[in-house]
Amino acid sequence: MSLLIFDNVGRQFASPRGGPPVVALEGVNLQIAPHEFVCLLGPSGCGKSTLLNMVAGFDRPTLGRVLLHGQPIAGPGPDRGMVFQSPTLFPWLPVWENITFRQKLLGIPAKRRREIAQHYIELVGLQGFADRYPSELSGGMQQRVGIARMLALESEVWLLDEPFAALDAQTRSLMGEELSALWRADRRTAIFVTHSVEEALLLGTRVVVLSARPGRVRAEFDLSHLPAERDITAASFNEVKREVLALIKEEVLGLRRVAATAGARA
Amino acid sequence: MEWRQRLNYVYVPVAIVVIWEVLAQLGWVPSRLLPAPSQVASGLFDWVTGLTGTAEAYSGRWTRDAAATAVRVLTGFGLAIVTAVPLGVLIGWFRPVQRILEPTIQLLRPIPPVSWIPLAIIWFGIADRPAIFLVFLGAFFPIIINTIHGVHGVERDLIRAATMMGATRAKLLQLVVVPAALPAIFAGLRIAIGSAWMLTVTSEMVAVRSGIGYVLWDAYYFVRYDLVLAGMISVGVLGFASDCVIRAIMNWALHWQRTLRFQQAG
Repeated sequence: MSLLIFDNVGRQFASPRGGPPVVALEGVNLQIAPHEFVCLLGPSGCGKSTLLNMVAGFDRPTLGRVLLHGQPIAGPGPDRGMVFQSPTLFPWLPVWENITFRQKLLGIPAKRRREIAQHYIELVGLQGFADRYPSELSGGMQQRVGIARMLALESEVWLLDEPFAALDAQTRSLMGEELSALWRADRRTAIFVTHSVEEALLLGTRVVVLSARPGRVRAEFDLSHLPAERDITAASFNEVKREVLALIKEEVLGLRRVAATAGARA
Repeated sequence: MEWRQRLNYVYVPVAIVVIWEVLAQLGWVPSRLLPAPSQVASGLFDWVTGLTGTAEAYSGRWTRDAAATAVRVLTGFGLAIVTAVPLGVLIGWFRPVQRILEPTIQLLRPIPPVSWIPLAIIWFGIADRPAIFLVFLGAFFPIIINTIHGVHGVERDLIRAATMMGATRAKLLQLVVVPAALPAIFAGLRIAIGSAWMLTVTSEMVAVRSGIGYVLWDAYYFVRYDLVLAGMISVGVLGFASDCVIRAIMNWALHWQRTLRFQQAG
């Protein structure tokens, strides 16, 4: 039974200088079951963040439907928590208030919210930083606050939009492992957008490769046969990695070929 | 900061006053064009304390004059804040309100507030009210323009994050838009307090028979240039002091903008 269904989803954007509309997504069909960790992998500009924004309710398809529990998504809501590409914290609120902004909206008193915040602060390893402001934290720590804020929503669906893209390599792989452990703890349905093959293979139970613009589902790789804790040196891991890389390479080369013929024509 | 470094602030002003005094004593600067600093100081001293009688009619009246001016500044400035900030938020946030109101504001804004003096006198007579009206006009535009600018500058993803957590439109305005616009609003307040003092003094020269501006202009008729300068200094000091107060409030309200603690904690 699918939790989320992308049914022939297309998205066009009006061209900034008149011209024909830009087709970002075309005929995307994808079904996501509960407790899956789906990584959307694709080159930049393939519309993978747009797909995520549609689930979040920030964007709507111009064609087709996005269904959650069989119902079209009407708008953003706390049942779908998102970690943004940049931390997107409220700079005027300390860490603990950022994490419990939802609880503030619900009218939960500050004392109780501090306790709630403390729980999630410990989960993401930010002990001792509850009263710091975002500007006093490093990029990695800010993103940890973003993750804690998503966790605190206790939402059914996790949406992660290249959350580690701006971090250095070490921090990035460390936080990937931590996110994977958090996910394994209660297996919420997760959609993770990335353009890193390795990251997708480390985190996902399924990797969906999107084609370059217009974005379509190019291929899917089921990783459920791999152990939950991935070993990047294992043969099975590298076998899938080779396959995915070959496909991506084809996709990028195809894009170049299109650009070259377009250039030759011009 | 170390006091030795702070000492750097005073070198230039002290040097200017010393050179000016020496030139005056040597007779190179005739006192009918520019009174010596010592003359200005003695005039100001008696204007404030009433101990020597050198300021004649104004002797000992400084506090009353300064208070009269300050009340006009604060009343006009306060009226400008309570109208321009809410209006600016509404114009910045609601497109229809912007379409209806902003053209009018942009048309009125380039009219120099001093050019309203004739109308202000016709409407309000000769007393506090025309001065307060002018201060209001002078402070209103910088505050509203900066508020609109600040609201427009709120990051789209911050609003998305808040709606994801379930913020209603009213809560969004109160808990996200206004705090995010606060730095820009304070920038507007600092510009506005400067024009508030300028306009009070101007209107006191023309339309009011009390206050520092009135003394300044009256002293000019009686060829008391030492008191003209004493009036200029008084306005400068009061303006500077009021800016310090606004800056202190701003630093308190925007304390989350300090960014250095993280590096120090390292």
